[in-house]
Amino acid sequence: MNGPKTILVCCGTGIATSTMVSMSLREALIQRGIKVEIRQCLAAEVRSRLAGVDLIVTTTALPNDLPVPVVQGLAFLTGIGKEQVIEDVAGRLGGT
Amino acid sequence: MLLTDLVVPEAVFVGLEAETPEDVIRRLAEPLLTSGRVDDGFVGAVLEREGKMPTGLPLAGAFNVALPHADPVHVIHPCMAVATLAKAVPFHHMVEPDEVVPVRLVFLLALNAPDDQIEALGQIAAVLESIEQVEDLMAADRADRLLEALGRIFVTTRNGGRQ
Repeated sequence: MNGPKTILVCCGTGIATSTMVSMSLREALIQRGIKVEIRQCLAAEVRSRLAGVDLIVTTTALPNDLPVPVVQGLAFLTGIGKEQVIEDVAGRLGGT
Repeated sequence: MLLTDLVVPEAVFVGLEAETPEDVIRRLAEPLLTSGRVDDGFVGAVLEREGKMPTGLPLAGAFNVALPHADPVHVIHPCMAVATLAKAVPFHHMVEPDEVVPVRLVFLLALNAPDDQIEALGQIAAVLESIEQVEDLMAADRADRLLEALGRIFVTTRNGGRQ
């Protein structure tokens, strides 16, 4: 399966932080030649938005029993450790 | 849309004296409320959200940021307020809400249609990633200079392509 993977970006209100993270993430993955579909949602609605999602990137606390891998995405806002997080995301997308 | 198109000049504060996140949010929101850009419920919604899902964000350099915001329903005209704080105010951490982040830079976001505002949000993210650019904002000693510094930064971090 080589179709684009789907990443769900979660934040508290699904408007500000998740938009920033989505932009930064999309750009980083495009630079690596990885095509993804990025969706955004509120943390509170995450369980109802999991269909077809390969990976969650979050900037807020989420339940720890979600059936999809979760990556902490603050690095996409602060730049701190961003390369490692991009590697982690890229690795997880490639490995499934 | 550029970030500087969203920043309300009367809502730019330099060296704001405040003790708590609530102080900061109330002061920043006041010009947005009096100019009719947000409704009466805005401040309460931001405070409630900050309590449940805080927005303090540790950055790589000496200064940390907070990005308080709320549900779009209270926003009449999308806009934002910006402040540098005279002394660090303890906000809670966005991902680890039990942790306290000493914050000196605050963007109060009043957004309603993220599609229009995506570029502006990307500009904030680009600024936060750069220690130098955050320091440039913190060095401003007057509101007009902070606004100027925002304009400079947002121009230099634009990555083109998107109108």
